[in-house]
Amino acid sequence: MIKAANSKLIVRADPTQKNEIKIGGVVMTAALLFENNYREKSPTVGVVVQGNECLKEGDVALFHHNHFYQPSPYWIGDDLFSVPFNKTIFGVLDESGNITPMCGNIICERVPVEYAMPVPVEQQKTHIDRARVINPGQVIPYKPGELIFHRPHAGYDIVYNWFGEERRVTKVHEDMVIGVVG
Amino acid sequence: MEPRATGTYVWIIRDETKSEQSGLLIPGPSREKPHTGTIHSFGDKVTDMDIKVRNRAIFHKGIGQEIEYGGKAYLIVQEHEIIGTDD
Repeated sequence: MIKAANSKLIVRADPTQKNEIKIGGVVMTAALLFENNYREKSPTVGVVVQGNECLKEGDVALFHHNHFYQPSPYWIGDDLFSVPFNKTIFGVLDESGNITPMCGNIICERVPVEYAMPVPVEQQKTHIDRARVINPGQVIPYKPGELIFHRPHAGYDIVYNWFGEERRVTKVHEDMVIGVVG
Repeated sequence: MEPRATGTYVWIIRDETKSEQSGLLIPGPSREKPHTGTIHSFGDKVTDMDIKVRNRAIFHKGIGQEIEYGGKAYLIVQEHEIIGTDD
């Protein structure tokens, strides 16, 4: 039985988890080989095999997409990976696929730019320096609904598959927050 | 609701750009921005005791992040980027 060293976790991840994506009720087979966006094509969901005090065995967690993309420096054989326990672990997924953030990550939503004139939906943009908190997790000072300001482009989109259904959330790490309204 | 700083960050309202002494008017983007301003708020991890709300601050040129909110423009710098204060 392999044991994780240096406070790492052993995680099981299915490398084909994003092969099929359900969008609007339609199941699509993704040609991931030709997708150049690593965030879209790389597996991000893993099941904890050997955990610690925060992540228990059997927990389903969301990881940075680089962890499971081959050739991965964390790969130890078959579908097992030994990953560090740090801010690259975004959160734990519950039975319905919703994420509870951890390791200083805050789940947010992007704030749309307000225009003085009507702008077509496809042309509308979101701010690069602010977000609204949805779930602050263990980051105590922030509350759901608060507007936080962060370093430019610190908002990070996570794409994951939950039983074939594509989901997207945005996270900001607490180190990147520079201000808050309130 | 006013924004407030977090961590080691300091929010500054930059001084307004003055007209050139020569009398020539230079368009806004070409004008050199002053590197002085008034401290609006500072984060809970700021350790320098001279950094206080409404104190004036001098900071390095070309640093910081600019944010507009509620009709005001703020410059956000880190504590160590402030090179002088004056009450």
